[in-house]
Formats: sequence, C-alpha cells, structure tokens
Amino acid sequence: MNLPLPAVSGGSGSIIDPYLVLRPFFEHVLHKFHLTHDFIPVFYGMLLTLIIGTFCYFATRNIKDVPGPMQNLLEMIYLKLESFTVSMMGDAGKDWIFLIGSLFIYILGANLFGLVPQGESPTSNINQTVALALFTFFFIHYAGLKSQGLNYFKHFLGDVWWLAPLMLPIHIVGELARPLSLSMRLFGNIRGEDITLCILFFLAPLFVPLPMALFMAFTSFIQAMVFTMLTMSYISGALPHGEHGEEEH
Amino acid sequence: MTLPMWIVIMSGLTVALGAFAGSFGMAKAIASTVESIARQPESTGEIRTTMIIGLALIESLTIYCLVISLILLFVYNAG
Repeated sequence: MNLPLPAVSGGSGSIIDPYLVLRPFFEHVLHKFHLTHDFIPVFYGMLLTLIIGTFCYFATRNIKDVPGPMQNLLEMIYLKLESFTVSMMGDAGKDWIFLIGSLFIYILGANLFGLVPQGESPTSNINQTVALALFTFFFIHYAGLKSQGLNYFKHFLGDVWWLAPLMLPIHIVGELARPLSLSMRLFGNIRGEDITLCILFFLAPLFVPLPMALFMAFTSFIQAMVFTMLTMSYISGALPHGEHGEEEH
Repeated sequence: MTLPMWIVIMSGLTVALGAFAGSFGMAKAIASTVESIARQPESTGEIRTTMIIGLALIESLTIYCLVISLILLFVYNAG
C-alpha cells in the first residue's frame, strides 16, 4: 500500500511538477550521464556553493579601506561569526573559524534553500548530512591529534587506569554516536520542515504556508547554529587545555 | 488488521509519543531558564546558549522518532 503523501522529492508524478523548472533540468542532465535522480541534492549543493562562491569572489575582488556594500556585508558576517566562535571556544576558536564559519554558512544556506522557489534543501537528503557529520567527525580527531599528538588517545582511557577496560568502549561508542546524532538531527529537522510545508501548500496554497515558512526560516537558523555549536564543543573537548567537552549526544 | 495498517498507526503513534515526551522535557528546561534569567539578567547570553544546546539535544530524540516513522512509512510500507 502506497500512501498518497505529497512527497517532497517524489520524482516525476509529484503534485507540484508543472511549476518546477530546476529539478527536471537536473534530472535531464543526470539521465544524460545514466545516473538516477538520487544525485539531485548534490546538484542543489553545487548550485548553493556556486552562489556563495560567486558572492564572495565579487565581494573580495578589490578590497578597500572604506568598504563598499558587499565587502561591508561580508565583514559583518565574519565579525559576527568570529565573536560567536570566540564566545563558545575562547581564544582558541580563532584557529578553527575557517571550519566553523564555512560549516555555518553552508548549512544555513542549505537549510534556507528549501524556502526559495525552485529550490530544495540539500540537507533534506540524508546523504548530505551524513557527509557533513562524517567530515566533522574526522576533523575533530584531526584537531585533537594535531594539538596533542598521540597523547590525544589517552583521554579515551578515562582518568583512572583500572577503569580503562570499561571506559574505552564507552568513549568509543560515544564518539561514534556523535556523527549519527548530528546527521540525524539536521536531516530530520529539515526534512520534516519540507514535508510540512509541502502538505500545507497542498492543502491551502495561498497565504496559509507563509507563517509556517517564516517559522521555518527561524528553525533553519537554529539548526545551523546547533550544528556549529556542537562541532565547537566537540573540538574544544579534543583540544588540550580547553574545558572538558560535555558528553553530548 | 493487516500489516500496512499497523505500520501507519504505529508511525503516527511514534511521532505523537516522541513529541509528547520531548515537549515536556523542553517545557521544564525553558521554565527553569526563564527563572534563572529573571534572577540573573546579566548572564542572559550564556544561559540562552546553554538552553539552546540543551533544547537541541532534547529535540534530537523527538527527531529520531520522526526519522523512525518516516522509515516505517516510506521504507517498510513501500517495500
């Protein structure tokens, strides 16, 4: 039994098909290369990266002391991100702002992309969020190894040596639960938003989805913030003198 | 009752129970956050960031319920 739900990415036969331009175009391109439509979120992600990259290129092409509007906006975004990172991680956060800022901007753009006409959130597909979370997972251990060397593995053993056989599996499971929870949280939130919005459009296309869309812009921001916040607390848990990261999963 | 009907019922119940329990936890967290902000307005920022992290962690359990019900609907029911 198949449910008559208006699937957000239901392929051809979806309810909103006649108005879509971008997605059939991507499907057309994919069929030329004999690929299935599972790759469409990748296209949306690439489009988003292209938009952000083009904006940054034109904003930083000629940097002046008295900034123009685009450079001003970019500087404001950078300063906000820097103060956000420093308030979470202390001064050590300045070394990792390239990762935190990129993650935040990409995830925020990806979440908001579902509210744009013709757009679809790349993060409403679980492959994208798993990729982001796995990258974060490996980066945390890279940060720990880079800052502490092999001493980093000592904290897996716990504080008391005779509890090490008990603490090691707990820590390993805890580490492995991090990418799982990060990816599932982002995916579930954004996918749930998209499905809710789609059902609202299906029920009452005019004006009714608008307050929900505003609320979704807010939750998109919150989710991007939560992802970067958790990344920051994990990284500062892996750094040597940072406060011991809370065991959050 | 056939299996697809059970799957539909259970996928609805999963989200309902998850949202129920999660919202109670979040209500408790928000209540004590408001209380402590009223007591110490100067540390509003820190309290708020801690609350948002905590709310996200509580919410993630509810989201797991959503994911499980989506799996039930779209993977088991379609297969």
